[in-house]
Amino acid sequence: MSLRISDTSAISNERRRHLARLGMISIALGAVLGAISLVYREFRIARLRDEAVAAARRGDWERAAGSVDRLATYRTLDFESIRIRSMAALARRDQLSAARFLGMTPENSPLAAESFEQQGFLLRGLFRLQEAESAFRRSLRLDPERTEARRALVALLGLERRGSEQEVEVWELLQRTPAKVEALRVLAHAGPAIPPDGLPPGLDEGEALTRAIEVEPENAHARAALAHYLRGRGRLEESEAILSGGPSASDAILLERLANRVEAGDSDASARLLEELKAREGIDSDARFHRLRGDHLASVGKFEEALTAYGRSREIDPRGVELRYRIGQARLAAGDTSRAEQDLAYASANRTLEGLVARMPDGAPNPADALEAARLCRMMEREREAEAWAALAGTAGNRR
Amino acid sequence: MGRARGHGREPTMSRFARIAAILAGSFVCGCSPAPPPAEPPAGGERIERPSSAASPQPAVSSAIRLVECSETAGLTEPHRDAAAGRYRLIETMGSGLALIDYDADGRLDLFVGQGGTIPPQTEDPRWWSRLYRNEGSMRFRDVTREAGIGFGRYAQGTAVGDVNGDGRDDLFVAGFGRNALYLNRDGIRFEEIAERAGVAGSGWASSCGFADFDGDGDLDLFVVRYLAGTVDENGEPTVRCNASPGRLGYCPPNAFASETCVLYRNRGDGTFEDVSVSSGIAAARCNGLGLAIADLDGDGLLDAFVASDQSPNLLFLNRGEMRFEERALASGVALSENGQTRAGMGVAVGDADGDGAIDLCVTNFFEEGVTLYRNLGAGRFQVTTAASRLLLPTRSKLGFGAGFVDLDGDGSLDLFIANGHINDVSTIGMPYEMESQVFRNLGGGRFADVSTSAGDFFRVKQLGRAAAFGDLDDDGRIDVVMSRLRQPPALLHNRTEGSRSIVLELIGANPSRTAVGTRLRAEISGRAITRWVVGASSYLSTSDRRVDIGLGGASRLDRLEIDWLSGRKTILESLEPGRAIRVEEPRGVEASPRDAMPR
Repeated sequence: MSLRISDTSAISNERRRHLARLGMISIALGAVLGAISLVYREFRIARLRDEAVAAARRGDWERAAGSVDRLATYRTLDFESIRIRSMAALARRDQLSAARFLGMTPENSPLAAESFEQQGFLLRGLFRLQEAESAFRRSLRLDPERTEARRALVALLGLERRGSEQEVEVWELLQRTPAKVEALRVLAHAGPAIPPDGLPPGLDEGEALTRAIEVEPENAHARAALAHYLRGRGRLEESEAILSGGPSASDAILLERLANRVEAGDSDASARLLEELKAREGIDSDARFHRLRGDHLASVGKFEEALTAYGRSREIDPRGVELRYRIGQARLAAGDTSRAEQDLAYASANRTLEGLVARMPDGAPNPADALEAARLCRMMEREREAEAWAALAGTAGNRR
Repeated sequence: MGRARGHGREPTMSRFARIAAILAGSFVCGCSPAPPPAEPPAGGERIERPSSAASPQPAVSSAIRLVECSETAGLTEPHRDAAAGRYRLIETMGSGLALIDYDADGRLDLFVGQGGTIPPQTEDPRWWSRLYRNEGSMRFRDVTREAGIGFGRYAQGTAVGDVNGDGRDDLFVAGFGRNALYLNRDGIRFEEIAERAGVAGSGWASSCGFADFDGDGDLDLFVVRYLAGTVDENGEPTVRCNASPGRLGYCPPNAFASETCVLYRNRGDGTFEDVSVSSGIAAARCNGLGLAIADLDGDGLLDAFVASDQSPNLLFLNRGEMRFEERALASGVALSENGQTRAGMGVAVGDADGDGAIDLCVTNFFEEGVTLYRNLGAGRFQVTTAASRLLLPTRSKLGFGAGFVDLDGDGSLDLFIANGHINDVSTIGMPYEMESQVFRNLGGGRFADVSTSAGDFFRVKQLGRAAAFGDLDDDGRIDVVMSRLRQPPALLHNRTEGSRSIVLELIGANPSRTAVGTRLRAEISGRAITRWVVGASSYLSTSDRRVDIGLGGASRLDRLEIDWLSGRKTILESLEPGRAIRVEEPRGVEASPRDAMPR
């Protein structure tokens, strides 16, 4: 009995050992297989990357894209793979996919800022202005020195007539770019300006905005800017139609609608729109609202009330050149001729500045011209701009 | 019918033949019958009209209707230029017009400026400007050769006035490189005396006008100049510009140097002295095109406003004794509503809003719209373009000649604008040829674009330039002449139904007989209307100096006060529409002090 017992015990031990051996072998095998698998995976990744790179070098973008897509099943794509995938999409003329691949670039990648900048340009070319703006801003957050991204952002804000936001970016650009005249030229303009080459190639402002709206119908800034563009060409009905098709709750749309009515000399409709706008939250801090209100009041001969509205607009946006001219006009009409003359002289000085800067070369300006620009800016109490011009005069003088 | 107003020759047609001709003309080209004659008023002498058919019934406000009839009128000579792809800026600026009754037969004759070559081919009649004699019934005859008035250069602006006090209207033609002064010898022939008279000038003269700026009784001459150095000594452009990507075109004015205006003082014998520097006129430069001469600040002295192309407009306020001060910026007329310079071309002058002050409307470039400067008095102006509803309809046009004229006879000044681009930029979606426009005055300083209903002419795209205004068939309705590039001038016969006006010809009590600066204040059924005799307006053109006051449905003008620039006053009462009324400034009366005049 005891033997049986001990026999049983012996078998059990033997089996246990066997099982243990088997387990160890399995573990070892698993480890080996795992290692082999790991090695194979790395081998595969390297192979796929090499294939992708080689295919890309050959210009075989379909194969390159296939390799990257298979690569994506193994791991998160690195910058180079993303770039190849993006280029492959571009080769298929699929700019949107290309932009989206660039947007996948990890932010800790050393080339992420460049990647987002390129994404911005692709999106701008597709007239996805809001997404392009985000891409440029993302690029600049990672690398504030990227002047091309900043230039593009300045142009984009000019296209959408977002003057105060544009000015902020122009000052940033001015600190970093060697092309200081170009940046100062944007500042010299009475309103938001689009720098040369600021639009997608081969397109005018109206076409660029029209396509942007086709892509993003809810883009209120683009709609408002296109309505402004059309009104500027006397195409009021088209301007109204563009505004009607957009998000009616937007302040930008309502303000543009008001501008249409004011320019059309429709004082009743202007008054109604002003009442509607007045009830909206945050509108009191909008300089344009007060300026348009002033325009309406001046057009119906209420010059003192117009001056109050213009004054509020000036508090919010002290730099507005067009506003200063309107203040001068209203003061002249109200009989305050001496103060009117100061305001009108301000606008005239800005006009002179615009003309002077327009004639300057992009590189080193004539120091005398730069000093004259500085003088005009001082006359307009725009010290920061004046200092920039004076510094430029010094630099230009030294260079000469 | 046809009795000469002054020194003109006897009419060659019998009264019956004239009436027949008028009726035939009406049938062919839409010439309207004239209102019946009326008794002369106290203080005024009736001038018999060349036509005598019954007038239409008056209406308070009728649809403006202008019918183009240049071909049947005999105006067939096209405007020419020597363009040939060189893009010299002068080629695209057009030439001026002048309405002048050179033969003093009571009918307005027509001078039409011609383009030219560089250097000029003055002997080649193709390049001569044309003088057309008004034969009545809206028919004109080319009398250029017999009048000796060919010019033969790029003709620009015109000015009409009696420079030597011989009772005949003379003609000044501003030109590219040289001006001409045609002295009217006998109502048939002219003699060119610019060199002798000291007004041959130099450079590129544009608009011009005669007016007695120093109050000495003779006509001084104000000449606007445009740009310097646009061509070299061989006549080739000094600067080349692209109008659109990769395509040559005419350069903007800022590619060249600005110019000063020139003021010539009449010595009293028909010769002139250049007083540009001593008068202060030469102190300011601009790219001047349009000119308005009127008392713009209400001080009883004639001022000059210059519309400037891409530089601030200029306003020369007359401070007396031939001294001027440039005050455009401080007066609010230098810039647009946004404080921007505009491409000022022509200027319409008149009381646009019925408040008794002279307003100015400047035509500008494509997308800029016109700029309406409302006169607030004392040399202050307010831009009211948007409120007047003129801004948006004019943004899609590039305007040149313009005039405030009461086309429908309702007592309010309507606005005519000649349009056309300077560059063919149609490849980039901009129009080259453009429709002209007419805006009806709704009262209260507001206008409505009535171009589409005003006649087929306003549906035709063309390159409009100068525009002159006057009653060419003496039917009491203002007609329009418009010069066009590469076409004969358009003659727009005013066929507005029911329009009735009082037409006044004012004769100053001075050697030149000028009445420029005179203000007329009419009362019609309790409504006040103010008009002026303006020295210059529009673009490169001289309009009829007679003053037209629409009755707007009333049967008569109740009272008319005429404030002569000398300070004298004439009051007329109960004027009925009919023949033009000649009013002579009283002589031998001491001028009342200017400040006593409620100007």
